[in-house]
Formats: sequence, structure tokens, C-alpha cells
Amino acid sequence: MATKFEPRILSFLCNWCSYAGADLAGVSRFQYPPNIRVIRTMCSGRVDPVFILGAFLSGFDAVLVLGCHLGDCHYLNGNYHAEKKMHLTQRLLGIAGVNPHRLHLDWVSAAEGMRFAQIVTNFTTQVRELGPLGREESLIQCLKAAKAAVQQEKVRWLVGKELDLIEKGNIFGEKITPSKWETLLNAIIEGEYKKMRITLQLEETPRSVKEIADFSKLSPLEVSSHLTDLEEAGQVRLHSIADRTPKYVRAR
Amino acid sequence: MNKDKIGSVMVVGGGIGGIQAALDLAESGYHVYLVEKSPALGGVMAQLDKTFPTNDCSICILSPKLVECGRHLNIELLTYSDILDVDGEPGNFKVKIRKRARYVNELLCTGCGICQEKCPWKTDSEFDASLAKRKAIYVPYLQAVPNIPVIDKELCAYFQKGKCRACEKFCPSHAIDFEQVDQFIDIDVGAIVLAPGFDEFDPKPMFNYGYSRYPNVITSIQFERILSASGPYQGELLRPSDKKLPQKIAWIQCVGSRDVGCDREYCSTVCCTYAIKEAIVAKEHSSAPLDEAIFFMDMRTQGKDFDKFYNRAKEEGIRFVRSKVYRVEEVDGTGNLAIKYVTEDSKIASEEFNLVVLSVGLQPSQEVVDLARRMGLQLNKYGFCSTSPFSPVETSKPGIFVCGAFSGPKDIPETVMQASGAATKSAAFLAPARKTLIKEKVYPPERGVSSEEPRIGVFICHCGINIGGVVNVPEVKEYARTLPNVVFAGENLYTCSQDTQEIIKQMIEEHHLNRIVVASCTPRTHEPLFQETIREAGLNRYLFEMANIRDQCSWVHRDHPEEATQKAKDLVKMVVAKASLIQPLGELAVGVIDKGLIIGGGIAGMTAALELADQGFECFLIERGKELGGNLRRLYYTLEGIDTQEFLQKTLRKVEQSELIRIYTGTEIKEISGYIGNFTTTIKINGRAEEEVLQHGVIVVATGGEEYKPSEYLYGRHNQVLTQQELERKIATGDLKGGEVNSVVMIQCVGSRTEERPYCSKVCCSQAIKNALKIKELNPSCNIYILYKDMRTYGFREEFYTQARSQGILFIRYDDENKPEVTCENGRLRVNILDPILDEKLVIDSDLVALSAAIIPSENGELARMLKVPLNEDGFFLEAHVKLRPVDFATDGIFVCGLAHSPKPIDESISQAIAAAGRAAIPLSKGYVSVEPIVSKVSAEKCIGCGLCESLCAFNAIRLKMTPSGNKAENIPASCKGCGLCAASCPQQAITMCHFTDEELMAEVNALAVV
Repeated sequence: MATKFEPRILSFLCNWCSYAGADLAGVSRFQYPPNIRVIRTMCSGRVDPVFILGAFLSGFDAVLVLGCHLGDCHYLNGNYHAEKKMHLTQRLLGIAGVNPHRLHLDWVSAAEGMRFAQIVTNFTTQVRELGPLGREESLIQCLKAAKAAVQQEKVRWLVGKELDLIEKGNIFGEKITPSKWETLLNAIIEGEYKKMRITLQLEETPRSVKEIADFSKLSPLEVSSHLTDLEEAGQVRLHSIADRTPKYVRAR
Repeated sequence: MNKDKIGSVMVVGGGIGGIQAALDLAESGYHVYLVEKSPALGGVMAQLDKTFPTNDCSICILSPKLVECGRHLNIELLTYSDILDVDGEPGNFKVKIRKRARYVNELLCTGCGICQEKCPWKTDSEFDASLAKRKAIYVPYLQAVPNIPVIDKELCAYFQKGKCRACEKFCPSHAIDFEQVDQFIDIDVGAIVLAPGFDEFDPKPMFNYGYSRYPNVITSIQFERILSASGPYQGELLRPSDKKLPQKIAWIQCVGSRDVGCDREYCSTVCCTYAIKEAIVAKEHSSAPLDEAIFFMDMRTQGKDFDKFYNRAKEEGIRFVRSKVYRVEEVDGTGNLAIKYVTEDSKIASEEFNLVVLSVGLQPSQEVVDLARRMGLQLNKYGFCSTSPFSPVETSKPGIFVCGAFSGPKDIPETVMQASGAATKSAAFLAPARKTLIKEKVYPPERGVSSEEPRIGVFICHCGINIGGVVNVPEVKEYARTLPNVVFAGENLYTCSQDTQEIIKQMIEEHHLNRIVVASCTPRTHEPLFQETIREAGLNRYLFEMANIRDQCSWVHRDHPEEATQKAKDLVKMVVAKASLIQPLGELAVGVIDKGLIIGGGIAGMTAALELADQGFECFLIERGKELGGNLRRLYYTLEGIDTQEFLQKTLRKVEQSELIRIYTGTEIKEISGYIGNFTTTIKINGRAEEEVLQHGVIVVATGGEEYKPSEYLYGRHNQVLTQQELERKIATGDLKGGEVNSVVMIQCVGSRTEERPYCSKVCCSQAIKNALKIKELNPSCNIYILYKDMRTYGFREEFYTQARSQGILFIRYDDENKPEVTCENGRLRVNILDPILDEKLVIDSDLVALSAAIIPSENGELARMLKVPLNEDGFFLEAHVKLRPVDFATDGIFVCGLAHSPKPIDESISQAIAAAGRAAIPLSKGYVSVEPIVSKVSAEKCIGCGLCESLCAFNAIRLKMTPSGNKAENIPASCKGCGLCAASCPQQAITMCHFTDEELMAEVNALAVV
């Protein structure tokens, strides 16, 4: 019989509420599975999506981010921003072919030791059921693309502005409805993700549109459209034309 | 006269009260002599296993304070010393001290402990309450400060028989000195704070409980030691006779309290809650299910959140038996004990237990009583120091202040509040001499480490058995040695103890360490301690990291030692990876506006304002209502019979006449911004168009509370149903004619201890008795019935309860299943109640029904939001730490007192207000505050001036600034709270958080990468 799968889970805890809640679970001796490894940050708002994707890339099966309850943030609204950031990351995970439930965001106050233990217990069980994330090269490529996507200016700007644009509106006072926002954001992150998929393949070897399309499972049409954008942005350049087939490479 | 005042204070007693008073005074610019009669600081708190109601580990929260006291430049420790005499006058006392010979040279001793190992002579350990042995040369307990042994002359064979000297032979540092003699020292001080604490009641003379005859009858303090991981059984729950696990444990309450038979009429206040704590904690220590019963008269859990704790105990199945125990007998041959008791309905019953804990009361120690008499202080009939409810920390002699259990039984937070209060009073009394005798701390220069490769030292803590009992610490240590950049790894029994601090410094020196990692408990409590240690060793405070392998590892994976050990290794690896990258950060000091803002003009607010003014600081006193006074306007006399209106008028006059207090009545707070030292508050005065802006350095929140307007028991529908405050007014103003009332019913807990408001309002039991006794004065033949759940006349209030019963006032208990019913028959009030003693329904016709209505918090939500401080579930403000920081908020520079914190009587509100003012005065008197350098940092090179960070920051701590190379973001360190949101959001990844940089956090993430 194979040994039972024990997931490796990375957890980010904010100093004021969830880390204190985890300490309280300890003081109260509430027992929970020993699968999580904790990184303390001052606020859940400090958790950059880059860290989450980095964690998956380094071999964690799941990531748990805990902050103060909404409204109780020690820094007023850091956790609202954390919510937006994690939401974005979950969507990107979905696009990259990773079950978004491998990233869980929740709230634990400094007085909720029991709740902390329960969340960790439940999440561990859930990830155990999901099974190992896997280390196939194709998955690594997808995660790398996702990580690169959340480092893109456009994505970061949009997520940073999300609360403002939905609640206060833009400089003309126009508010964006959440559903419209959803559509917009989805389109952008998908586009950025695909661009990153392409760019990553051109890191070392010059490739043609067809080669890229085969490799990244995108249509040749999509690939050439993104390549045009990437060329314009100076991220990709034409490398050579061999046998009437242009080959592209990452611009340095 | 003033110029003669001496800028130093003597604090008598090294328990938590004395420690707090000493630290506050030393921080406020006074030199402190801290005198303790035993060989080490710590007092009773050091003996406790856990503290209620949060079950925090007692030594864990105390230890950092012990260490701070031990290392504070302006606190001079005089341990193992007694005060012989006090002479002189207020402001200029001469104190004669005897410093007993330890027979150990304090300067040579390193606290290595070899002498204790080698000493062949044993006796009962005082610290372990005789459940374990100590040697003739001994340090009282592991974390003792100072960690220097003493020789017990009575036991030492050399002193008694002239031979042995084993300790001397083995001492590697030649510190043993048999020639040492007692020293007699005269010390001049300006003021004295008495914090001598209490003795536990000795139950030996109470023959019926069998203490000292039966080994399994123990006191509550012995049980604390049994539960303690560093106690006689290493935290295993065993009973003394056969070291077996007890399955049934009983607590007997009020042993040496509420007992005229042993001359102790008063209630010891803390025993009910500590018994509950011990019962809950014992369950956690027991591998098998435990059957526990607490035999009690009234359950007095009147403190903040204590009733929730009581409810939790009931939910966990702990039995509460309302009874009077008359005898404990051993059951032959078993070591078990039969408790014989009388039930509430007067039936005789008996039950067998494996272990019986006597909840012993608190009393002043005889030595302290003798000293106080020599000093000419007024004491009450039990020997406690007399104080007035309006000046709770002042003794009968000017310049001598008191705090803690010496002025009456009280718990840790009350003691800490009074300690800060007594420190405040001393500081005000000696204000002209402030800073005349202090030394400034000089640190060694910081070692430059930027050019060095990281050299990391890892210290792994056993925390007694808290960590070592689960995690294989030696294995983690060996693992740590193998990690990159680690040049030293060690293990310690208690990494937080004073001796380990010395070891850390030594190792830094020896191995030229430049980064330190401690794997122990939580950085939330212990990081500052270790940072101070490494700073003293010449390292920047930020070259430090912690791995939490106790609270988040050993404690929560008790049954998985292997996995816990693996997790501990991983956590150490992650932190070591981060530590390789951390950089020194420069600390910043920000100036303080030396003014205070006090929100709320009731007695707490006025007291705080007067205290700040007494210390020489200007303050703004903001009151929303038309006039100052708050609830005190509705009170006319205290339980002791003192006129509160006269006190109110006197206080109002003082506040109005003070040149330093600016009163704003009818004023609303619109906005508060800023941070400690530099707050800006916008206020709006009724009737004025413009808003006014105030600048100040600190804030005291004293927004008070109010009496609940009941909807129960015909209140508002019958004019003879009143609240206690309304009744009090009627009595005081002569509205209530004695002849008109022949039957009065008072109902307790109206709106308190209910599902909606599960807390106890603390004052109502005393208030009811106070008013009942007044009615008896007016009409001695009036029948008064008080219907109650538990009479909570804690402390000396108990005497009035006794008096009320002797005057024929009838007390009838009810519970939630059988609440009283008030009806109106032809305009006349009638109360139906089930009497549990007679087990009969009583019908009482009543002329007047008084409802002891709850104290409810003011509307604090908006203010809490503006101040960014939390409220508890009941709507009262939540302090930084329920035990040791009872007047502070987690946010620096903001303090709380009075009913805004929780329901409490006048004397406690005043203590807390004095304490809050004193704590607030510390930064004001220093003139600056240090700002944590954990702030964000912008790379001007990467920044494109998009302004996202500016729009995200909730504290206006980052803004765009025009530079020659265009708009660039700029951080304002004093405003920056260090959340790191800007860093996580910057589209260019141009911002990072000091001490939590992207690289550092990613190093933690990648430390465990699967290769």
C-alpha cells in the first residue's frame, strides 16, 4: 500500500490577527495537522501574488493566506486588498490549469484559536483529497507564466485600482460594475498569461509561430496576435527567417 | 521645599506589582530601588502555571518583565533585603535596609548551577510549595532574576557543623564567600511605593479540611506547581501520595476567606476564577477524562470576561456544587478523600475524590504588617493597608503609595493598574526632581556588518518541556548546524532567561556572529527581549529572526513528535534563509507634542486630566455632554458611606481651576489622525460653526458607560419599579420617606449575565446592598428581599453583605430557569420567586421594586474606528493585554480607563485612570518616541511615479514628490505603519518593505523547495 499523501502547505499569517490566533491555538492546545509552514507578514496585504506562485513553483501543494476579519484590519483595509489579490491569483491558477482551491484565503482574529485550528484542519483535509500538485515540466511552465503575469505592470495596476474603481469610480466619477470589471480583468489576465507563456518559450531558443502554438496549445492566430503586441512592447524580437518561416526570440 | 525632593523612589516588593511600578518610574525619569525580601524577583506570579481568563502561560508573560527589570539602567535591585526602618519626611525619606549575606559573590557568580548540583543537603522548596526539594545553596526557580544562588545558613552543613564546603570546591568562578556578612545600607529616596503582595492563607489550623494530615489535600498554589511544566512533576497531573493520575478532583472555595471563624470575613476576590482556571487547565493536562467539581458558595467571576470563562468551564463539564463543606476525611487505604458537605437546600451529602484542592485566600504577611506599623501607616482590622475609594493608591502618609494585594485582595490586572497608578502618583509628587538622578543607557557602538558574510547563530529553546517534550530539540540543533551560513547552534532550557541572554552575548562575541535566530515561542511577546540582548552585544536589533516552534508547533502537534520535529526543522530552515538576507536598520526618534487629549469627562477622564496636569502636562478634556461629571452625578454615597457628591464637587473645582486643563464640553470629535507623539484631532463644539484642530502627543479614552434602561419586570410601566441609580437619587434627595416603604424587592443581574450581555456588571451587588442598608436606616422594620444569582461582594465589600444579613435583609437566590416574576395587582407590585432553600414558591407584596440594571458601554464604534483600536464582543474597548497591559492599547500612545474598558466601581475606575495618565505621561516626559524602522522603501530608479501607492496607503505615509527626474514616490517613516501593502501592489515592483523585503520573503518560500 502506498503511503498516505501528506500535503505540504505554506501559510502566510498577518502579525496582528491570524498569527496571534495561531498563537492562541497553541496556548489553548488546540491540535491540528502538522502540514503547514508559516511565514509571518505584518499584514495580509503584504502578500504579493508573486509569493503564492513562487510557493507552488518551489513545490508546495497548497497555500493558505489568513488575515484579520474584514473591517478589523490593523492597517484599516489591507485585508480587502489581500482579498482582491488572492482572487486574481486564484483566477490565474485556474487559467494555468491548477485547481484554484489550492489557494485559500480566510480570516482569523486574535481571539479565534479554535477557528484557526479548524481552518487548518479543514484545508489540510481538502488538499489531501486534491492530491499532490505534481512536478511535470508542462505544469512548471504554466506556473512560471502565471508568476510572470502577476509581475506585469498592467495586471498589478488593475488589481491595485480595483477597489477604487468599483467603489469610488475613476477620475470622472464613473464607477465600474463588478460584472463588467470581472470581464475586463479576465480578458487582461488571460492575455498577459498567454503572452508570458510565449515569452518564456523564447527565453533560450528562437521559435516559429507554429512551434510556439504547438507547445503552448494556443491557436497560431492567437500566438501571432500576442507576438505583435510583445514585439511592440519590445519584449520579443524577430530572430531570423529560416525557410521563409520567421523565428522569434526574447528581447534583452 | 521642592528643590529638596529626591528624584528616586523605593519600590518595596518584587512581584508583578513592584516590577510594573519600578519599570514605569524608571521609564518616567526616576531612579528606582526595587527591594525584595526573597532572593529573586517574581513573587507569586512566577509560581503560577497559567493566568485567567486567557490561560496565558504565567512565567512566559512575566519573564520578559523580569529580564527588563534586571537589566534596566535605572532600577537597582536589592534582593534578599529587608527594610528595617523609614525615617525622614515626604520627598526626602531615609530608608535603612538590611541586605542579607548570600554567601555568594554577585559579581563573580555566572549562575552556572554547579553548586546546586554538588550540594548534598536538601529541604522542601518554598517555590514548589514543599512538593519538591531544593538544596542548601539554591536559586529559587529557573527563570529567577537575578540568577544568583543563596546559601540557606540553617541547612548548610558548613555553617551548622563546620564542614562540607562542597559548593566552594566545585564553583568554577570562586564565587562562594563564607565570610560574607549582612550589609546595612541607608538609602535616600523621595517617595515609597509599597507592593509587598500577599501570603496565602495557611489552612493547617482548619483541622476539618485535613490539610497536612492527608497528602492528597493540597492548596491551590501547590496545584499550580503540579500543573507547571517546571514544577515538581514536570507538568504531569499526579497526586502527591502515590504519584498517580487523579480521575476526580475537587476544589473547596473560601478556605480562609468569608469566614468569621478564622477572623477573615473578607472575600479574597481571585479564588473563584483561579479555581475555574485550574480545573480547565487540569483537563488539558490529563490523558484520561477528568471529573472535576468546585464546591462554592457564590461564584465570584466579576472581572472582565470572567463570566465567559465560567460558562466555558460549565460547557466543559466541570461541576459547580453550591454548598458548604464541613469536613474532608481520608477513605481508608486509598488516599482518596470524602468531602462532606451541606447542600443549598440544607441536605447533608458526601462524595469521594482522588485529590482535593483548597482554594486558599489572600492575607498580608506579618512582616509587612509589622513594617507598615513601624512606618505609622493606617491598616484595616485584617492588617491590609487602608485606602479611600477616591484615592486608592495613597496610604495615610504623604509620599508613601500602595498597590496590589497589600491594600486588599486583587488579581493581576488590578495589581498592574494600581502599580502604574502608584508610580504615577510618585512621579507627580516628585515632578520637580524628575530626571535628576537617572542614568542614560549607553549601548556599545553598533558593529558594521554590511561587509561581512552572514554568520548566523541559532538558539533553540526547550521552554522547559513545552517544546522539548514534543520536539526533539537536540536533533533540530544538529540540523540547524548544517544550514547555510550557520556557524553556531545551541539549545537552552529557557532561552528567555537572564542567564541565556548572557550566553547569547557570549556566543556573539566568541563566534563573531552577525545574525541571530531564536527558535522558541512567539515573536509577538519575546522578540523585543532578544533584540535588546543582541543590541547590547553590539548588533543592530534587526539582525534578528524568530522561529515559532512552541505556540505554532509543539503545543499544537502534541501527539505527533516526529512531524513536529520535522516542522521545527523546516521553520528554522525558513527563518535561517531569511536571516541570511536581513540588514541592519537605523532606528528613528520622533519628537512628542507634550500635551494629552482625554476623551470623556466622567470621573475617569477628570482623574486622568488632573494626573497629567499634576505631572506638568497640558491636556484637552473633551466631553460630549453639557457638563463634566458623568455617572458620578447620579451617585450620592459609596458602600462605605462616603459622600460622592462632595467628592465630585471637589474634583470639578480642581479641574476647572487647573491652568493646564482645557475643558471642552458639548464637544464632538470629528477626526483623529497621526501617531504617538503627533496626533491631530478635529473637534466640533456645539453652537460654533468652525471646527477646531488640536495637536497632542497621547490620547486617553475614558468614554464611560451607562446604566441599562430595563425592558424587564414592568420597568417603565409601573412608577414604583426603579433602577438602583433612580432609587439612590430618591433616597439621597429625601424623596423616599421611610414610612412609605415597608417591603422592598431588589432584583440583581437585570440585563447582565444574560444571553445578550453575558458579562457581569460588577457594581450592582454592592450597589443593592448599599441602598438596602440606607433604606434600613430610614425604616428599620422595612422588609427587604434581594433576589440574586451570586452575591459578588468581593474584597472588603463582603463585610457589608454580612452586615445586611445581620440586619435582616433577606437574600433569595434564583437562576435562569426560575427567574422572578413581577406582576401588578390593582396597582400593587407583587413578586413571585422560587426559594431554593425552602424549595417553595414565595409571593412577596412589595411597595417598591429596584432593578440592579447592567452597565452598558457607550456608543464606542465610531471612536474605535477613528482611533483604529478594537472593541470586545460586548462593546467595551479591548486593551493590549488583559493581564499585563490593562490600560494600554496595542496602538502606541493611546490608553483606556474607566467604564469604557469594562464595568467597575469608582475606586477601580480611579486607579485605572491614574494608571492610564501615568502610562501616557511616559512618552510626554521623555520628549521623543522611537519609531520602528520597519517601513517601506522606494527605489527611485524603478519608480515611474504612477501614484498607485499613494492612492492605496490608508495612513498617508507615501506620496508623490516632484524631482528632477520626474514624479517619484516618497515614504514618510513616522506615519508609515509597516503593513507593506504598497510593496505588494507596486506595478513596477519598485517598493519594498524593510525587514520583509521581497527577497527575504521569497527566501523563506524557497527554503523548502523540492529539488
